[in-house]
Amino acid sequence: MNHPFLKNRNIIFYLASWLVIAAGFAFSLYYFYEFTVNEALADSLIFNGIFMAVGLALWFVVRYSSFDASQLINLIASHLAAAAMSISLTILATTTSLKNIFVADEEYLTFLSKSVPWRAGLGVMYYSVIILVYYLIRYYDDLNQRMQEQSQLETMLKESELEMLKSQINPHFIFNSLNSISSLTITAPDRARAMVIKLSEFLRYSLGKENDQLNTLDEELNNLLLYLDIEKVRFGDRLQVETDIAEDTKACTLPNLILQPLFENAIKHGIYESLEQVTIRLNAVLDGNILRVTVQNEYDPNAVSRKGKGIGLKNVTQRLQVIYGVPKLVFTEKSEEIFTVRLDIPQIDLEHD
Amino acid sequence: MIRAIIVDDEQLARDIIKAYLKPFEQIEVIKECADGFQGLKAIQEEKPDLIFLDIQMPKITGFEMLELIDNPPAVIFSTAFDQYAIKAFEQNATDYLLKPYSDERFGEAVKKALDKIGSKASSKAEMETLQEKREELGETLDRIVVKTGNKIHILSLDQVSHFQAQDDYVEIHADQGKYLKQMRMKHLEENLPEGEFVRIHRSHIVSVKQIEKLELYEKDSYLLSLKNGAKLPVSRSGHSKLKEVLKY
Repeated sequence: MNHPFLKNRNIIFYLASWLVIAAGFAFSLYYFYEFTVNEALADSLIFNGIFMAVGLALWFVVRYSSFDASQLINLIASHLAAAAMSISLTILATTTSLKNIFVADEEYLTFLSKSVPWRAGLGVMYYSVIILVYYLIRYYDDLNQRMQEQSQLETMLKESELEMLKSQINPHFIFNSLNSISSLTITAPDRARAMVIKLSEFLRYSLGKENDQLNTLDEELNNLLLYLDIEKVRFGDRLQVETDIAEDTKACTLPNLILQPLFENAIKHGIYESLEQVTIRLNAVLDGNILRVTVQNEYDPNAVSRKGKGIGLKNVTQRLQVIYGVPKLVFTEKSEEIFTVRLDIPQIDLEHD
Repeated sequence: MIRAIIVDDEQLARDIIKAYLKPFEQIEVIKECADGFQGLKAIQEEKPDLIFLDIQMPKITGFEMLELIDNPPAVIFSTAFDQYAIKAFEQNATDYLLKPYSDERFGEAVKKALDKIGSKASSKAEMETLQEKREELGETLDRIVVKTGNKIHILSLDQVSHFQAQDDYVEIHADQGKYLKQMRMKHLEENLPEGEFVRIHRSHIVSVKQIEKLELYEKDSYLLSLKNGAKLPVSRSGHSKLKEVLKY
């Protein structure tokens, strides 16, 4: 945060305020104490002018102090020190310079030496007002910034939700499957019918679900197997799937379709980039109250794959973070020929607002 | 007799093409290929008149396969969903089929292709404009497929240190060696990822990551050294581009 008075035209307002104060100050010296115009103006301009300059520097006391309650004593101490320093500095500089200007004026010099206490009082007031204004500015800026961050976060969330909806069902998958069905109607109508039914079941399960809905692993697995069955019709023997699901995990819950992008990735990097048979392994264990689901696929380490947008995994991570409030629930590991991704899904009752 | 080959990684997708081709007795499918490598080999060996080509395939895409063929025959593309490709096709004479497609739509595409084969028109220019259209639509280059003899190499841009113009060709200097590919510098300059490559000279584009140092060579002329030892001249406009990218 830069100095609030030194940016834009704020300095004009600051100078104008001080001008008003200085005018009032000079007027009272002239009117109530009956000094000459010269004396009143010189005294006022020097005293208030120096404090105006000091006041600009006070911003840094506010800028680098914290609101933290545990630091309250530090805060008070630093303000007392800053006030003492700035006020004594101002008074010292004022009296020294005025003494040198009005060397011969006895009456004025007596006034000057007597004025120290009330100048100090006035200084405390100046100090308090300036600090208060700074704190208000800082508070307002913080508030603004926080609101900006909040709205940024909300947009990001919305965007990721949108991306997720888009990526949930891959259009490639749909249209290629429909093409396979079209082909099967000529050569093997029975298989075409079976595939239409599988595709329908898959779509029925996948469409129209809430993002934060939790399903059992069993339900999710059934849907995934449908998806893999459909892909198998397309890729034939090239796609092999092995599952190892511990019995006690089947009733565990996880966000709907959270595993889908992992399998799509596995197929994309495994099958799409390879000419040989590729095996995808799915493993689920319950570890305390954490469901650990692992998806492994073989990939060709030499393949120069076209850069994906990396949306799949990022979305999974974001969704889990939004639902469970834990930042890191997705773990990936890349060995020579095997890519592994693991999700740790907490098994707790989620209170939904 | 028209000799055709089908290149598609899905058996069922190849099957439906064969089924739809039954009424066209003058077309004979001489080979089916499940990926671009096989497709390239078959095209070089068999010199077919017509290719049915899927775009999204393992290893190399249909487009990348075509780039490696000097005189491509007539091509009917097919794709399930590829927004860049579809938009590019819509602005180009080359025919394409969106999967799944009807036999009427397929028939139209085949008739058009047969007309083209009859008129002996070359597909080369058409393929080039198709390529340009895709680039115009904003598909960035992220890898380069090259051929040496019968071997196909897929170069990641990370492996490329610089490109050098050689008449109609570009010499690609990569970690694995040097490769020649028929392409234009302008095309490279426009489509390489911004900030990662700089055209320092009429005949040179360098990878920013590979830059070692820039030296004053004579008055107003600079020499750029790369980490692999290459020393390349820098033109005046190249120098200002370098300044911009390296922010000095």
